Amino acid sequence: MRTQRSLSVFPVSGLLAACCLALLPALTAQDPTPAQNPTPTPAAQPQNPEGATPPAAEGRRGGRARRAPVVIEAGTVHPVAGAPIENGVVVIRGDRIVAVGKKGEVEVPPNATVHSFPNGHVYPGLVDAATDAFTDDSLRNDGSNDGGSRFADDLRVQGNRNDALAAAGITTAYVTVRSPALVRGKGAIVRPTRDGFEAWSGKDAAALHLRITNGVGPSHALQRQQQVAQVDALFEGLEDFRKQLNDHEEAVKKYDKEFADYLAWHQKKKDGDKPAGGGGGGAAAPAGAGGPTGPGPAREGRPTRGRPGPGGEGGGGGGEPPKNDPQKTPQEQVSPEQLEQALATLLAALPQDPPKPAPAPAPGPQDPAKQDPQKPAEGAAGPAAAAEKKDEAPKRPTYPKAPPRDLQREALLAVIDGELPLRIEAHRADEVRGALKIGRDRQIPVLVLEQAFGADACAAEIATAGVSVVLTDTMAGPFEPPYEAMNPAKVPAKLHAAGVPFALASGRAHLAALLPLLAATAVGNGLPADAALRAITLTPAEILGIAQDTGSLQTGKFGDLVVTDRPLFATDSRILMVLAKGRTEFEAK
Amino acid sequence: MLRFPLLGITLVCALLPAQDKATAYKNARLLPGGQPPIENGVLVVGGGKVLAIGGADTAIPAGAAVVDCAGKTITPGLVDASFRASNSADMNENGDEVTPHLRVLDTLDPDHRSFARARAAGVTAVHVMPGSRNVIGGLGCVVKTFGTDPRAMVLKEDASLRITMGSEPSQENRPIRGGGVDSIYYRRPTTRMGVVWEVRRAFFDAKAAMEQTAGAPPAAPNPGIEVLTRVLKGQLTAVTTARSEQDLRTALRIAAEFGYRTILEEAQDAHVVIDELVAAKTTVMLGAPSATVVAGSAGGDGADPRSATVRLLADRGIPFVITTGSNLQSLDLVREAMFAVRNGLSATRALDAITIEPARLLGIDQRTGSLAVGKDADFVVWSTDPLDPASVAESVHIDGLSVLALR
Amino acid sequence: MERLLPVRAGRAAPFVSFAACLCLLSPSRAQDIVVTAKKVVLATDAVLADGAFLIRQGKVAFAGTDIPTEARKKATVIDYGDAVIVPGFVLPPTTLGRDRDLAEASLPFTPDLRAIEAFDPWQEELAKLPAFGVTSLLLSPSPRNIAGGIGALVKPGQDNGVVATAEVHLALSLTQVARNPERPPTSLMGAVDMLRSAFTMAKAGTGGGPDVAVLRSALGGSRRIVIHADLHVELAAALDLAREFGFEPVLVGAREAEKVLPRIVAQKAALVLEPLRPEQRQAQLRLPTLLAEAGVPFCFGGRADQLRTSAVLAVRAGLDRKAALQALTRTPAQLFDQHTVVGSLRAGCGADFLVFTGDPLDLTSAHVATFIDGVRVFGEAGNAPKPHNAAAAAGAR
Repeated sequence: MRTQRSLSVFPVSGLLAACCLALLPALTAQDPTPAQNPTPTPAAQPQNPEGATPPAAEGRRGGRARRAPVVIEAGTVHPVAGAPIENGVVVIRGDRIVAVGKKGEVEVPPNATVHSFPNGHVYPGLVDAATDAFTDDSLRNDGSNDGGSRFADDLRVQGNRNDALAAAGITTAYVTVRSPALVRGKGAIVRPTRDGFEAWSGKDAAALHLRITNGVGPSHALQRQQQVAQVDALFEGLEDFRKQLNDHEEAVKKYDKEFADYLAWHQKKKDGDKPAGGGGGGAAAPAGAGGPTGPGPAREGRPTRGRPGPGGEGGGGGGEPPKNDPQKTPQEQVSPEQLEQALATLLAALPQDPPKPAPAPAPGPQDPAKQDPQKPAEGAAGPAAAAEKKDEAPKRPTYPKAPPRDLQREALLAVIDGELPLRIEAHRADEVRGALKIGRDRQIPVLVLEQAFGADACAAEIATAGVSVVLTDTMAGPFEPPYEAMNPAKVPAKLHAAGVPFALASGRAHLAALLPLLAATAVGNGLPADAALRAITLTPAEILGIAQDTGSLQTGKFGDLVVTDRPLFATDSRILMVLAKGRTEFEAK
Repeated sequence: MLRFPLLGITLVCALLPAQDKATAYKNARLLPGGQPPIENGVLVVGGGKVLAIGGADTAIPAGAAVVDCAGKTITPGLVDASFRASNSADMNENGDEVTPHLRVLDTLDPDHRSFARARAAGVTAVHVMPGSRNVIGGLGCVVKTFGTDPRAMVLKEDASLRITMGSEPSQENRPIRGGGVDSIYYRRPTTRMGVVWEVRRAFFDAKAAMEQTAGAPPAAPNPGIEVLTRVLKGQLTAVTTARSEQDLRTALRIAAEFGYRTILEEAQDAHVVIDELVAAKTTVMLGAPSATVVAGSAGGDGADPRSATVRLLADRGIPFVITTGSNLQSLDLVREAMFAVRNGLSATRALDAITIEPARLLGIDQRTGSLAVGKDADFVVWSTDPLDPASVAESVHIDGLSVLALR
Repeated sequence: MERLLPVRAGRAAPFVSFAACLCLLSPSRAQDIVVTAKKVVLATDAVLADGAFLIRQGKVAFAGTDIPTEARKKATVIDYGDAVIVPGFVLPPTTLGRDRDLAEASLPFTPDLRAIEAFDPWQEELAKLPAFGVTSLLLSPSPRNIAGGIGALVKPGQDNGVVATAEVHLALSLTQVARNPERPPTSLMGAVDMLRSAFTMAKAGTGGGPDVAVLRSALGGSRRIVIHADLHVELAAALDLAREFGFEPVLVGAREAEKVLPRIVAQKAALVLEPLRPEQRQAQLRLPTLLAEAGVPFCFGGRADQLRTSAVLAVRAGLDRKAALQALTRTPAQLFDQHTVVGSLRAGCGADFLVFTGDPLDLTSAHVATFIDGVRVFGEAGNAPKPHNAAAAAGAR
């Protein structure tokens, strides 16, 4: 059905499509840009506001029918999920993989664009579980970040070679920085493209970062203990904060109801006094100014909690106050300005009709009990009931005072609720244990450790805790040897042996092209090769929570793949082609 | 960055064949240097040399590429007779106070941004001297402003010997007090008197060596003494950096005492010692006449610079050239000439003072400094009259090669 | 062999005699050893499949089919199964972290000092080298002096270091660290002049002290002249000196070598490059490839732990694998005229070799063992070939 409609809409010019978007909010779920550009180039830009479409919707949209299916044939296909396939074929339709298998056993669409690499190797697009690409020095060195910071807000193409992630075969990257801040902020998942990156819809705040380490320098054990305590202390008082938020939410609900009653009373009064339609005209004014100008796209935060503003939950937050009043149409509560305008019209009409004009606006200020800002709702509730009996005007309710915004605590609440994974950078074994203890004590549902080179001593504990690990700087040799006691190059093998899920990540944008070599180094230090491959594809996808969409060559996932001329881990293997969502992001000349 | 030199080399290689082909620039106003201007002139270059220059009727060889320069002015490539290049740490050998035999050519970095800046300002040849931290700094050289190998850029090796008067050579030296002498800065002249004494001693030694050589062969060859001997014999030009009145007088006095000729460089206070300059028939390399502060790291050498100095020199017939010198405030060379014009110098004199005059002074006028048949094709195409404040060097050619686009 | 004898009998006697004791004590040295592996790289142009070589008295005596049957029978066999054996890496001029002992601070010009005097056979850094595949190194005076002195070829032994060749190259320097602001020369100009004066004197005749004599003999071809130079100007100055005094220099550091590449080629200079780092720009990583194409001999210097990765990065940037392995082994040996002693597994060379589970230039290959003079100094013993991930690595391909 949707396909039908979109097909009828998309041939129209971009301007018209934009108008349609403005008029029909329902259409926002569809991304018109790719369809306008069937050739795979600037289709997705980071600025694209439509990037926020849920992945499920993208699969169904019309773009799929417009682009010819892509078929990659290669000597060996490494799906990661499953054994390598000799003479394999990957079929991509739209932006998803529709078939993976042996040549001859897979149906190849007749109109498909076929890329054939008889000696080539095909791998899933690499997933870099930590990179600082698209960030600048100011962000990397910012010690003043806190839990409210979102790196997604400060990403841009830096215009240097470090941005060439797509050419290095990385089709998904998690952007974070190693700033000196204790709470570093929220990292974002991006999809690097030929000329920049696009945001991964809904993953612009993909994890919260904490640091329990002073990095590579020598430190005192006591100092490290204090650091653990400091991080632990962040979680103090969160329940009080949650209560404040919930109380406020309740209060807002109450306010909404009372305000609706208040409006309804006056509306009724007005309708009763002027049945001819003067009231209708007044009511029509705000609706006529119309259009869905009020609630913008959902703001940052969780939809379950109250918002400090009459805008309410916006388009996405269904089932909220407006639904409580069946008489209201959506247009009536769209904008505070319009409400004010409507109210002014009503109030202007009021004094003419009731026998006692003064009481209506007056009672509020005159009654000191009702002025109490702490209990505006209760103060209004009693007299309102009384007024109902006497058919007196209900008092106009006061909007409840919001508790002060604390983005860091909101983020930490999200962590506790399991909505946001928590990533803790910890190096030495005692730091790792500290992180695990915090995870246990504070019952953090999704915990990911970064670095964790001390895993030598506590791999089993990490495994028991069910925590996954992201490792960077594991390529011994070209890095400074910071850890005399811990050999970063050996850690992957140890984690693997202990059964800890781990990802190998570049950590730095300029190392992006070496991601396969990082994995190769781990192989040279005892990690099985298939586990190393998994550690730069499927495991990071799982850690990032996007394994349903990428990380392996499986039907239904995005068409993200890398073609190399030699096995990926060979030093001189060259990347021949990179596809992301079926689009060519890199092709060797 | 590493890529660019190779790119440059590649470009040079790519352009070399084109260079062999003659190119004619016509309809331009030609200021050949030392000659009257030619309106609607034609300049033909090929093989890195000037092939022909003349009025509109000059024959353009068949097959030559023709560039129409209507409304534009062509001058010879400018010659900066005192130019700061590279980092001063490598141009000052602090190991000794008198280092006449050190060659600045050894430390010349053709990639240094100062050369790029000079090229962009239409300067095609520069005289580089060792830094001014030593009493006798060493041998200066004249190079073109474009090239990859410093040796290949050389117009004249051993072009001058730099002597510095004033407070700079003694500036950082400290007198020995007590023990703990662990630095070479504890043994130099710490005063102006000491500086003069060093110069005098050096030339005295050289003179003694010369006289002794007449009799018996010397014990050990001393390259420093050899250089000083060449100065005394008049085979090498001495350039004495002096700014204040006292230093200028001292420079002239010592030169007279030992009987060598010297050029006075910087010469901030030249207007005070005009009579002495006239008497000594000395050439002046006037450093940055536009500057409003005194040059030199020591500061405070001399009185306030006078903008009218340049006209005074011209009026009294003292030969001079205009340079950018070591003044950090200096403008581009052509702008310094413009400044001189504003202070009463004739335009012709001003332009000569940054082209043919310095070329003659440095002994490179056979190859560059003016536009004449057979000379190197070093020239600049200006958007308008070069002494106009709005003029821009639109293309700069060194040996016929357009160098603005390179590196 | 002949080369070594006078040295061993000479000034390095204390170390040598100690090493000799070890030789006698160690059973593996007393007897012939045959080492076999699936692939034996004797030198980059001599590769044996299912190869073997025979070690006698710490040296390679025979290789491949040259091994006499009789000797083979009597010898102890060490089998490394599927592994790949390559010659040990040679680390070009280094001070091994002993700058204090290898830079004479009181004088800038000390060509007659010998690095070997500062060699501490029990130095900790030596013991770490086999783990990085380094089996011999050129201990060199520090580049902090304009003329540092004479370097030596030493090896990290089983317990302590041993001297292979006491006097190898003459180390000069024009780098920034050599231009010390506290003593002359403080500038490049002065540094060049200092060398030029000395070379002039050396060339002039018989005058001058022992320092000039060293320069004179080096100019006469007795030893390689090594000049530390990084920047364009320093390299240009070094090449100027080489041209003026007619020698073919080995340039160490050579960060901006690309800028003077034509001159390097023309003057037959060789380069010891700084180790490559992954964060370097592609242009820098491509330098080895450019040099190989231009036919300039080069090797990697600097830190031992970065030798292998430097070669790997160079291969990733386009360098031929053979040339990369050569840069780790044969080239440094040849540049310092030590190729008859180290750098390959040809008969007569020291039995210094490394065992990898695969190509050493693939990081997937694990470093299994290091042998120096036929003695295992790092890693796992043979006969129990443990390419622990060979099967897995095969699976990945």
